[in-house]
Amino acid sequence: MLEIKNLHAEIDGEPILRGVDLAIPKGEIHAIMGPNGSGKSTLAYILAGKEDYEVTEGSITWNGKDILEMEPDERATSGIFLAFQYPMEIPGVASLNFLRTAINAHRKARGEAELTTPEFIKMVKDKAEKLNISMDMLKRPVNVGFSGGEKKRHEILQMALLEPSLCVLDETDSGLDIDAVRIVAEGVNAMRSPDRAFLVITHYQRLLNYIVPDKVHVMAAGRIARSGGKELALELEQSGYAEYGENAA
Amino acid sequence: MNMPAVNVQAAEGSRTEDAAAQLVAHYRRMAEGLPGSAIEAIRQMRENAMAAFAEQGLPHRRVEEWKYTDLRRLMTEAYAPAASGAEVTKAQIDEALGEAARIEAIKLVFVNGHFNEDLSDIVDLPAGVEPMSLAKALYAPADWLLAALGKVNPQERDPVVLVNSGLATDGMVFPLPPGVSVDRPVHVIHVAVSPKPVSSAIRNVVVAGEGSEATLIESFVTIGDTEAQVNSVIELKVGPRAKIRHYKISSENQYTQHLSSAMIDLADKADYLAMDFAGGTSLARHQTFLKFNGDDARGHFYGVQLLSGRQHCDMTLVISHDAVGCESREHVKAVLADRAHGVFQAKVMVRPDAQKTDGRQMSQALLLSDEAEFDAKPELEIFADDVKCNHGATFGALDEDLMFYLRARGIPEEEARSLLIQAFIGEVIDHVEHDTLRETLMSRVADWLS
Repeated sequence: MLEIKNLHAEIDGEPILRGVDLAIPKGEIHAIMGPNGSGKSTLAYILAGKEDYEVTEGSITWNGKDILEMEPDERATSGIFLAFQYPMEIPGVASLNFLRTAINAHRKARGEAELTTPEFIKMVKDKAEKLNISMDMLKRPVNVGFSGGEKKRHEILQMALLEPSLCVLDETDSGLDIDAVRIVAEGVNAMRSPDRAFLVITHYQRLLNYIVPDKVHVMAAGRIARSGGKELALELEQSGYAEYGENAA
Repeated sequence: MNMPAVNVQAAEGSRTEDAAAQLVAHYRRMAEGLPGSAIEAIRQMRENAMAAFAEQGLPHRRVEEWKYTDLRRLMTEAYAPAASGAEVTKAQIDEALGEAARIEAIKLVFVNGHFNEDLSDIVDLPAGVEPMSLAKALYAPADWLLAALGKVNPQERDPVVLVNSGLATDGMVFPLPPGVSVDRPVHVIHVAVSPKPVSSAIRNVVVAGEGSEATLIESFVTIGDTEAQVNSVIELKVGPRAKIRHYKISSENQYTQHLSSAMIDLADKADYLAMDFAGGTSLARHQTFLKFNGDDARGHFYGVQLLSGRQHCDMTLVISHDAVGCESREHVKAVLADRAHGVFQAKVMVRPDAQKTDGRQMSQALLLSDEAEFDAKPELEIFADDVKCNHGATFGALDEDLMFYLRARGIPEEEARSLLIQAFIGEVIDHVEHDTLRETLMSRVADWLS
């Protein structure tokens, strides 16, 4: 269970989050929608532990543990995963090396032995295939020269390999065509489980046709302004975010 | 013509010139016993060099080429040149070399600047491949050697090269006949071992004939806590269409001062690639003087500096494009921790007739501490009108966003940092064309980081 209470945060002294309250039980998918600049991505980064943001008030607990005191890598090995809106390019580090290092860091945190090379390759191959990612692509440096769609699929591959218990997807659909959205959504849906919670952040309703949420929240001016069922997403698609402070598109 | 005797008193004029005066005195004391002393041309070369050195002394920061490496301040004492015959075992050398010992190669071992045949591996040499000791060769020097020694892209004003010309006790001389390819690298291993501070001066001369191919590796190691001053020079004449790969790994200890110079002359369509890997020593100056003497030649230089503490490493290149259609590349990457100081200077001169020159240089420094310093000084002097030349330099800390990305995948901070630094340096090490050596260098980077 993820519990966010009265979360206030700022960057360079400027308040971004102004009292977020949100609870996501295990097994559920919650979507956060909202206009640009409402604080959606900030919330995602804060969950993952990015240091640029200062939490000035409130709390975040994951399975009862206060995560605000934890380093980003500790949060990750505790099961929190952020699929980045803008995945980073890492020249000189082959994807396979990166994936292996990440998997082994998780295994080490759990007190398990590192994977052997054949074990690792088999594991990656199986999951990469389903996401339409070739092994050749994974021999290249992380995200370098990847198309927008490849980068997002690569994020989902990481999620599938690390098997987190809280998946935060930040605008995973941005910049994707409909086929790519479908592949990504299938990857996410395959991971739905009673032990896993999802927070899907998106500007558009489209993704939620494929990843059907249990609850939809609207974020505006750094707060959850409204919550409802999946039909709320459709309503927003019709009405836009005008009433939440963004000019109708 | 006889040169006037070197005036030691003059060099001793001020306290700051102590080390220069000591170098001259070492030379005076040793001159009669140095290899080639019976040969007038060699004797004269040494005399002239030391006279020219005595006149200028050690360079200091007001000498433009030495602006960032004030040798007068950094080298306060000139250690005594070592005698031959120091005790050292193959096991000790292999341990100091680490994984580089595994590289299958023709090996020539020099201990404190003296060839040691027992520790070397020069049996079963391919036909025509006969690297040998300079000291030995100078008993009865071949014409090619007399034509080359001190004459390959000569640096008659460089103080470090001058001292080497005066004091060199030994080195590898290697005539590579036209058309011969050496299947294994030629690994020249310089070992410093001594209970007392010790210096050595090594002079290598390699002349690669037309169409020949070879890989040269120079390794510099120290045994234990030996305090050493190493002055090594290689003269390398690369013939038409010859292909030379030249890797230099300086991994002496922190008590060592390393001065090395490469004087290189490239003929038509020569293909030369060099990499200098610097770690370990308290002071290092790696100089490369590269002259494009024939058309359509290619000369690439890559450098790696891994420095911490108060280490100082200076990689300085002087590149002269004297021919048409040549390609030069210089790319240095430095990782600097603590109060380390890295320097990259590259002066590229394009002579009026050197049209179609393609020259690029780049230095990139990763500063792991606020007190680390990196100085980059690119200089382009272009006198031809149809050329492509550029330079660039970047400085910075590790990218925090990349660090966050890795850590968000569960990779601990230290491991993430190490992964990014290895990737940064790896881009230069990737140019090494010898697989085992490339792996050796990458694992050195990993060791340095741990």
